[in-house]
Amino acid sequence: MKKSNLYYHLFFHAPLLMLLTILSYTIFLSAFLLLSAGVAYIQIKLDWIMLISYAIVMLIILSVITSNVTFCQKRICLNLYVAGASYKQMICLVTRKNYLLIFLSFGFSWYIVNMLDIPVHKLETLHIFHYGIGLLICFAMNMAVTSSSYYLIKRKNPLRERWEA
Amino acid sequence: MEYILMHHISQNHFHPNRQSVKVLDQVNLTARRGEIVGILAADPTERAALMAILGCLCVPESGSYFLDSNPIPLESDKLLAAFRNYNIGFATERYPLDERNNVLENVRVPLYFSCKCAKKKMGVEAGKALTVFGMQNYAERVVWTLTQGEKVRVMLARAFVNHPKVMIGENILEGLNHNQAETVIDCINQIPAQGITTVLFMEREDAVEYCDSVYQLKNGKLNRV
Repeated sequence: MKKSNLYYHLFFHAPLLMLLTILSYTIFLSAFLLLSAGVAYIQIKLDWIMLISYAIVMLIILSVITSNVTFCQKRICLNLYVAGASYKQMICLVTRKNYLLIFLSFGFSWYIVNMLDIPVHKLETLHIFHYGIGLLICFAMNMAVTSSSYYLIKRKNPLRERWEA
Repeated sequence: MEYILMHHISQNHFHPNRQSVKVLDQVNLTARRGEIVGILAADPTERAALMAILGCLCVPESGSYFLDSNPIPLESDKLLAAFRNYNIGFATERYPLDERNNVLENVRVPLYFSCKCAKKKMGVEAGKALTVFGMQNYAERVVWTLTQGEKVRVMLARAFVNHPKVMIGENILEGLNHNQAETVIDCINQIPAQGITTVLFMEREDAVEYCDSVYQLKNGKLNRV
Protein backbone atom coordinates (compact mmCIF):
# COMPACT_ATOMS: atom_id res chain seq x y z
CA MET A 1 0.00 0.00 0.00
CA LYS A 2 1.28 3.46 -0.88
CA LYS A 3 1.79 5.96 1.93
CA SER A 4 -0.79 8.38 0.51
CA ASN A 5 -3.36 5.55 0.39
CA LEU A 6 -2.55 4.61 3.96
CA TYR A 7 -3.22 8.17 5.16
CA TYR A 8 -6.43 8.20 3.17
CA HIS A 9 -7.58 5.02 4.93
CA LEU A 10 -6.49 6.21 8.35
CA PHE A 11 -7.81 9.75 8.28
CA PHE A 12 -10.85 9.58 6.10
CA HIS A 13 -12.72 6.30 5.78
CA ALA A 14 -12.42 4.77 9.22
CA PRO A 15 -13.04 7.96 11.31
CA LEU A 16 -15.98 8.96 9.13
CA LEU A 17 -17.57 5.56 9.57
CA MET A 18 -16.77 5.61 13.27
CA LEU A 19 -18.29 9.05 13.82
CA LEU A 20 -21.43 8.27 11.85
CA THR A 21 -21.82 4.93 13.58
CA ILE A 22 -21.35 6.41 17.05
CA LEU A 23 -23.74 9.27 16.25
CA SER A 24 -26.42 6.93 14.96
CA TYR A 25 -26.20 4.50 17.85
CA THR A 26 -26.00 7.32 20.43
CA ILE A 27 -29.18 8.97 19.16
CA PHE A 28 -30.93 5.61 19.01
CA LEU A 29 -29.86 4.55 22.50
CA SER A 30 -30.69 7.95 24.01
CA ALA A 31 -34.11 7.91 22.41
CA PHE A 32 -34.72 4.37 23.58
CA LEU A 33 -33.61 5.11 27.15
CA LEU A 34 -35.68 8.29 27.35
CA LEU A 35 -38.70 6.50 26.01
CA SER A 36 -38.38 3.49 28.27
CA ALA A 37 -37.43 5.51 31.36
CA GLY A 38 -40.34 7.91 31.19
CA VAL A 39 -40.34 10.58 28.50
CA ALA A 40 -43.49 12.27 29.76
CA TYR A 41 -41.64 13.94 32.63
CA ILE A 42 -39.42 16.06 30.41
CA GLN A 43 -42.04 16.63 27.69
CA ILE A 44 -40.26 14.95 24.77
CA LYS A 45 -42.75 13.60 22.29
CA LEU A 46 -41.54 10.19 21.17
CA ASP A 47 -43.46 7.11 20.22
CA TRP A 48 -42.60 3.56 19.26
CA ILE A 49 -43.44 4.07 15.56
CA MET A 50 -41.01 6.97 15.41
CA LEU A 51 -38.36 4.87 17.13
CA ILE A 52 -38.83 1.93 14.76
CA SER A 53 -38.81 4.17 11.67
CA TYR A 54 -35.61 5.79 12.95
CA ALA A 55 -34.09 2.33 13.46
CA ILE A 56 -34.96 1.34 9.88
CA VAL A 57 -33.47 4.53 8.42
CA MET A 58 -30.37 4.02 10.56
CA LEU A 59 -30.08 0.42 9.39
CA ILE A 60 -30.16 1.49 5.74
CA ILE A 61 -27.62 4.29 6.25
CA LEU A 62 -25.21 2.09 8.21
CA SER A 63 -25.50 -0.72 5.64
CA VAL A 64 -24.70 1.63 2.77
CA ILE A 65 -21.75 3.07 4.72
CA THR A 66 -20.40 -0.37 5.58
CA SER A 67 -20.66 -1.73 2.05
CA ASN A 68 -19.06 1.43 0.67
CA VAL A 69 -16.21 1.23 3.14
CA THR A 70 -15.66 -2.37 2.08
CA PHE A 71 -15.44 -1.14 -1.51
CA CYS A 72 -13.19 1.79 -0.58
CA GLN A 73 -10.83 -0.61 1.16
CA LYS A 74 -11.05 -2.87 -1.85
CA ARG A 75 -7.32 -3.59 -1.93
CA ILE A 76 -7.29 -4.95 1.62
CA CYS A 77 -10.60 -6.76 1.21
CA LEU A 78 -9.43 -8.30 -2.06
CA ASN A 79 -6.37 -9.69 -0.29
CA LEU A 80 -8.63 -11.26 2.32
CA TYR A 81 -10.92 -12.64 -0.39
CA VAL A 82 -7.97 -14.20 -2.21
CA ALA A 83 -6.68 -15.67 1.07
CA GLY A 84 -9.96 -17.55 1.45
CA ALA A 85 -12.46 -15.20 3.08
CA SER A 86 -16.01 -15.19 1.79
CA TYR A 87 -17.85 -11.90 1.20
CA LYS A 88 -19.69 -12.35 4.48
CA GLN A 89 -16.49 -12.92 6.46
CA MET A 90 -14.98 -9.80 4.89
CA ILE A 91 -17.92 -7.63 5.93
CA CYS A 92 -17.91 -9.19 9.40
CA LEU A 93 -14.29 -8.09 9.74
CA VAL A 94 -15.27 -4.54 8.77
CA THR A 95 -18.28 -4.43 11.11
CA ARG A 96 -16.58 -6.23 14.01
CA LYS A 97 -15.27 -3.00 15.49
CA ASN A 98 -18.83 -1.66 15.52
CA TYR A 99 -19.41 -3.59 18.75
CA LEU A 100 -16.77 -1.45 20.41
CA LEU A 101 -18.43 1.64 18.92
CA ILE A 102 -21.76 0.55 20.40
CA PHE A 103 -20.20 0.54 23.86
CA LEU A 104 -18.81 4.03 23.22
CA SER A 105 -22.26 5.16 22.09
CA PHE A 106 -23.68 3.62 25.23
CA GLY A 107 -21.36 5.81 27.29
CA PHE A 108 -22.37 8.93 25.37
CA SER A 109 -26.06 8.16 25.60
CA TRP A 110 -25.77 7.52 29.35
CA TYR A 111 -24.17 10.97 29.64
CA ILE A 112 -26.80 12.69 27.47
CA VAL A 113 -29.75 11.09 29.24
CA ASN A 114 -28.39 11.99 32.66
CA MET A 115 -27.68 15.56 31.55
CA LEU A 116 -31.28 15.85 30.37
CA ASP A 117 -32.42 14.55 33.72
CA ILE A 118 -30.52 17.17 35.76
CA PRO A 119 -33.28 19.84 35.73
CA VAL A 120 -36.10 17.41 36.53
CA HIS A 121 -34.54 14.57 38.54
CA LYS A 122 -37.35 12.26 37.61
CA LEU A 123 -35.86 9.76 35.18
CA GLU A 124 -34.89 6.37 36.45
CA THR A 125 -32.09 6.16 33.94
CA LEU A 126 -29.81 3.99 35.99
CA HIS A 127 -32.14 1.05 35.71
CA ILE A 128 -29.87 -1.64 34.32
CA PHE A 129 -32.72 -3.39 32.53
CA HIS A 130 -33.31 -0.45 30.18
CA TYR A 131 -29.64 -0.20 29.29
CA GLY A 132 -29.40 -3.95 28.73
CA ILE A 133 -32.37 -4.00 26.37
CA GLY A 134 -31.02 -0.96 24.51
CA LEU A 135 -27.63 -2.61 24.03
CA LEU A 136 -29.19 -5.86 22.88
CA ILE A 137 -31.22 -3.98 20.27
CA CYS A 138 -28.04 -2.27 19.05
CA PHE A 139 -26.19 -5.59 18.79
CA ALA A 140 -29.08 -7.09 16.84
CA MET A 141 -29.05 -4.04 14.60
CA ASN A 142 -25.32 -4.44 13.97
CA MET A 143 -25.94 -8.03 12.87
CA ALA A 144 -28.64 -6.76 10.54
CA VAL A 145 -26.18 -4.16 9.17
CA THR A 146 -23.68 -6.95 8.45
CA SER A 147 -26.26 -9.05 6.63
CA SER A 148 -27.75 -6.21 4.61
CA SER A 149 -24.25 -4.98 3.65
CA TYR A 150 -23.53 -8.50 2.42
CA TYR A 151 -26.55 -8.39 0.11
CA LEU A 152 -25.66 -4.89 -1.08
CA ILE A 153 -22.12 -6.03 -1.94
CA LYS A 154 -23.34 -9.20 -3.63
CA ARG A 155 -25.82 -7.16 -5.66
CA LYS A 156 -23.24 -4.58 -6.63
CA ASN A 157 -20.49 -7.11 -7.27
CA PRO A 158 -21.68 -10.59 -8.28
CA LEU A 159 -19.43 -13.55 -7.69
CA ARG A 160 -18.46 -14.09 -11.30
CA GLU A 161 -16.96 -10.61 -11.68
CA ARG A 162 -13.47 -9.89 -10.54
CA TRP A 163 -12.45 -7.08 -8.26
CA GLU A 164 -10.10 -5.09 -10.40
CA ALA A 165 -7.94 -2.61 -8.52
CA MET B 1 -3.80 -39.00 -13.22
CA GLU B 2 -4.41 -35.31 -13.91
CA TYR B 3 -4.27 -33.05 -10.89
CA ILE B 4 -5.59 -29.93 -12.61
CA LEU B 5 -8.13 -30.51 -15.35
CA MET B 6 -9.75 -27.61 -17.16
CA HIS B 7 -12.05 -28.48 -19.98
CA HIS B 8 -13.51 -26.04 -22.55
CA ILE B 9 -13.42 -23.04 -20.24
CA SER B 10 -14.82 -19.84 -21.75
CA GLN B 11 -15.13 -16.41 -20.24
CA ASN B 12 -16.32 -13.00 -21.41
CA HIS B 13 -15.02 -9.71 -20.11
CA PHE B 14 -17.43 -6.80 -19.83
CA HIS B 15 -15.98 -3.38 -20.56
CA PRO B 16 -17.41 -0.30 -18.82
CA ASN B 17 -19.38 0.49 -21.98
CA ARG B 18 -21.08 -2.93 -21.63
CA GLN B 19 -19.28 -4.33 -24.65
CA SER B 20 -18.51 -8.00 -24.21
CA VAL B 21 -15.14 -9.41 -25.28
CA LYS B 22 -14.28 -13.11 -25.19
CA VAL B 23 -11.07 -13.36 -23.15
CA LEU B 24 -11.00 -17.15 -22.83
CA ASP B 25 -12.24 -19.34 -25.63
CA GLN B 26 -12.58 -23.10 -25.03
CA VAL B 27 -9.45 -23.29 -22.92
CA ASN B 28 -8.11 -26.75 -21.96
CA LEU B 29 -5.39 -27.16 -19.34
CA THR B 30 -3.99 -30.23 -17.63
CA ALA B 31 -1.24 -30.62 -15.05
CA ARG B 32 0.11 -33.44 -12.92
CA ARG B 33 0.81 -33.31 -9.20
CA GLY B 34 4.08 -31.54 -8.42
CA GLU B 35 4.45 -30.18 -11.94
CA ILE B 36 5.57 -26.63 -12.71
CA VAL B 37 3.42 -25.22 -15.49
CA GLY B 38 4.34 -22.00 -17.27
CA ILE B 39 1.72 -19.92 -19.03
CA LEU B 40 2.92 -17.19 -21.36
CA ALA B 41 0.31 -14.48 -21.67
CA ALA B 42 1.10 -10.99 -22.89
CA ASP B 43 -2.45 -9.67 -22.54
CA PRO B 44 -3.11 -8.76 -18.85
CA THR B 45 -6.89 -9.19 -19.22
CA GLU B 46 -6.60 -12.73 -20.56
CA ARG B 47 -3.99 -13.54 -17.95
CA ALA B 48 -6.13 -12.17 -15.11
CA ALA B 49 -9.21 -14.05 -16.36
CA LEU B 50 -7.45 -17.43 -16.48
CA MET B 51 -5.75 -16.79 -13.16
CA ALA B 52 -9.07 -15.88 -11.51
CA ILE B 53 -10.75 -19.07 -12.75
CA LEU B 54 -7.77 -21.26 -11.90
CA GLY B 55 -7.62 -19.66 -8.44
CA CYS B 56 -11.40 -20.06 -7.87
CA LEU B 57 -11.86 -16.29 -7.60
CA CYS B 58 -14.60 -16.34 -10.18
CA VAL B 59 -16.84 -18.79 -11.92
CA PRO B 60 -16.34 -19.58 -15.63
CA GLU B 61 -19.25 -18.94 -17.97
CA SER B 62 -18.91 -22.38 -19.51
CA GLY B 63 -16.71 -25.45 -19.19
CA SER B 64 -15.62 -27.57 -16.29
CA TYR B 65 -12.73 -27.42 -13.84
CA PHE B 66 -11.54 -30.25 -11.60
CA LEU B 67 -8.83 -30.08 -8.99
CA ASP B 68 -7.53 -33.43 -7.75
CA SER B 69 -10.64 -35.04 -9.31
CA ASN B 70 -12.92 -32.76 -7.26
CA PRO B 71 -15.24 -30.35 -9.08
CA ILE B 72 -15.08 -26.70 -8.01
CA PRO B 73 -18.02 -25.99 -5.67
CA LEU B 74 -20.01 -23.29 -7.39
CA GLU B 75 -23.10 -23.51 -5.19
CA SER B 76 -22.20 -20.77 -2.76
CA ASP B 77 -19.64 -18.09 -2.08
CA LYS B 78 -18.88 -19.67 1.31
CA LEU B 79 -18.01 -23.08 -0.18
CA LEU B 80 -15.93 -21.52 -2.94
CA ALA B 81 -14.05 -19.41 -0.38
CA ALA B 82 -13.30 -22.48 1.76
CA PHE B 83 -12.18 -24.42 -1.33
CA ARG B 84 -9.91 -21.53 -2.31
CA ASN B 85 -8.48 -21.28 1.19
CA TYR B 86 -7.61 -24.99 1.38
CA ASN B 87 -6.45 -25.61 -2.18
CA ILE B 88 -5.06 -22.44 -3.73
CA GLY B 89 -2.17 -20.16 -2.87
CA PHE B 90 -1.45 -16.91 -4.68
CA ALA B 91 1.90 -15.18 -5.12
CA THR B 92 1.31 -12.15 -7.28
CA GLU B 93 1.72 -8.38 -7.10
CA ARG B 94 -1.97 -8.16 -7.93
CA TYR B 95 -2.65 -9.19 -4.31
CA PRO B 96 0.27 -7.49 -2.57
CA LEU B 97 1.51 -7.78 0.97
CA ASP B 98 0.28 -5.36 3.60
CA GLU B 99 3.25 -3.02 3.90
CA ARG B 100 2.24 -1.77 7.35
CA ASN B 101 2.42 -5.20 8.97
CA ASN B 102 5.41 -7.39 9.60
CA VAL B 103 6.31 -10.49 7.59
CA LEU B 104 4.82 -12.98 10.06
CA GLU B 105 1.48 -11.15 10.16
CA ASN B 106 1.29 -11.19 6.36
CA VAL B 107 2.07 -14.89 6.11
CA ARG B 108 -0.54 -15.71 8.75
CA VAL B 109 -3.45 -14.16 6.80
CA PRO B 110 -4.68 -17.36 5.01
CA LEU B 111 -4.60 -19.23 8.33
CA TYR B 112 -7.24 -16.89 9.81
CA PHE B 113 -9.82 -18.34 7.44
CA SER B 114 -8.71 -21.95 7.78
CA CYS B 115 -9.54 -24.53 10.44
CA LYS B 116 -6.25 -26.33 9.92
CA CYS B 117 -4.57 -24.98 13.04
CA ALA B 118 -5.47 -23.30 16.30
CA LYS B 119 -4.98 -19.56 16.71
CA LYS B 120 -2.05 -20.09 19.05
CA LYS B 121 -0.22 -22.25 16.51
CA MET B 122 -0.66 -19.85 13.60
CA GLY B 123 2.64 -18.15 14.32
CA VAL B 124 4.44 -21.50 14.37
CA GLU B 125 2.89 -22.54 11.05
CA ALA B 126 3.76 -19.19 9.49
CA GLY B 127 7.31 -19.58 10.81
CA LYS B 128 7.58 -23.02 9.18
CA ALA B 129 6.42 -21.61 5.84
CA LEU B 130 9.01 -18.82 6.11
CA THR B 131 11.72 -21.41 6.83
CA VAL B 132 10.90 -23.27 3.60
CA PHE B 133 11.67 -20.10 1.65
CA GLY B 134 14.66 -19.05 3.77
CA MET B 135 12.93 -16.07 5.37
CA GLN B 136 12.82 -17.25 8.99
CA ASN B 137 15.16 -14.46 10.13
CA TYR B 138 12.90 -11.78 8.65
CA ALA B 139 9.73 -12.71 10.57
CA GLU B 140 9.59 -9.53 12.64
CA ARG B 141 10.63 -7.15 9.84
CA VAL B 142 8.05 -4.70 8.50
CA VAL B 143 7.33 -5.44 4.83
CA TRP B 144 8.29 -2.03 3.43
CA THR B 145 11.87 -2.56 4.64
CA LEU B 146 12.35 -5.67 2.46
CA THR B 147 13.89 -5.86 -1.02
CA GLN B 148 11.78 -6.92 -4.00
CA GLY B 149 13.29 -10.42 -3.95
CA GLU B 150 12.51 -10.84 -0.27
CA LYS B 151 8.95 -9.63 -0.82
CA VAL B 152 8.49 -12.28 -3.51
CA ARG B 153 9.72 -14.97 -1.11
CA VAL B 154 7.31 -13.73 1.57
CA MET B 155 4.49 -13.88 -0.97
CA LEU B 156 5.51 -17.46 -1.78
CA ALA B 157 5.48 -18.28 1.94
CA ARG B 158 2.02 -16.73 2.30
CA ALA B 159 0.80 -18.84 -0.62
CA PHE B 160 2.40 -21.94 0.87
CA VAL B 161 1.34 -21.57 4.53
CA ASN B 162 -1.90 -23.54 4.13
CA HIS B 163 -0.15 -26.34 2.16
CA PRO B 164 -2.40 -25.86 -0.86
CA LYS B 165 -2.72 -28.17 -3.83
CA VAL B 166 -1.94 -25.44 -6.34
CA MET B 167 0.26 -22.38 -6.09
CA ILE B 168 -0.25 -19.62 -8.63
CA GLY B 169 2.45 -17.06 -9.36
CA GLU B 170 2.41 -14.12 -11.74
CA ASN B 171 5.47 -12.33 -13.16
CA ILE B 172 7.45 -13.54 -10.19
CA LEU B 173 10.86 -12.65 -11.60
CA GLU B 174 9.89 -9.21 -12.85
CA GLY B 175 11.99 -6.38 -11.43
CA LEU B 176 14.48 -8.71 -9.73
CA ASN B 177 18.23 -8.58 -10.23
CA HIS B 178 20.21 -11.71 -11.13
CA ASN B 179 20.96 -12.78 -7.54
CA GLN B 180 17.42 -12.21 -6.32
CA ALA B 181 16.01 -14.10 -9.32
CA GLU B 182 18.34 -17.06 -8.63
CA THR B 183 17.16 -17.26 -5.01
CA VAL B 184 13.49 -17.07 -6.01
CA ILE B 185 13.99 -19.80 -8.64
CA ASP B 186 15.64 -22.01 -6.02
CA CYS B 187 12.56 -21.48 -3.85
CA ILE B 188 10.18 -22.34 -6.70
CA ASN B 189 12.15 -25.51 -7.45
CA GLN B 190 11.53 -26.69 -3.86
CA ILE B 191 7.73 -26.50 -4.24
CA PRO B 192 7.19 -29.72 -6.32
CA ALA B 193 8.86 -31.77 -3.56
CA GLN B 194 5.95 -30.77 -1.29
CA GLY B 195 3.48 -32.28 -3.78
CA ILE B 196 2.20 -28.89 -4.87
CA THR B 197 1.48 -28.06 -8.50
CA THR B 198 2.80 -24.64 -9.48
CA VAL B 199 1.32 -22.50 -12.24
CA LEU B 200 3.46 -19.54 -13.27
CA PHE B 201 1.91 -16.82 -15.38
CA MET B 202 4.51 -14.87 -17.33
CA GLU B 203 4.44 -11.83 -19.54
CA ARG B 204 7.89 -12.61 -20.94
CA GLU B 205 9.80 -15.87 -21.30
CA ASP B 206 11.93 -15.26 -18.20
CA ALA B 207 11.22 -18.46 -16.28
CA VAL B 208 10.30 -20.82 -19.11
CA GLU B 209 13.37 -23.04 -18.70
CA TYR B 210 12.35 -23.94 -15.15
CA CYS B 211 8.89 -25.19 -16.15
CA ASP B 212 7.98 -28.80 -16.91
CA SER B 213 5.37 -27.75 -19.46
CA VAL B 214 4.69 -24.42 -21.13
CA TYR B 215 1.48 -23.03 -22.61
CA GLN B 216 0.80 -19.84 -24.53
CA LEU B 217 -2.37 -17.84 -24.03
CA LYS B 218 -3.09 -15.71 -27.07
CA ASN B 219 -6.36 -14.32 -28.41
CA GLY B 220 -8.28 -16.32 -25.82
CA LYS B 221 -6.80 -19.66 -26.90
CA LEU B 222 -4.41 -21.71 -24.81
CA ASN B 223 -1.91 -23.77 -26.79
CA ARG B 224 0.90 -26.00 -25.62
CA VAL B 225 4.32 -24.75 -26.73
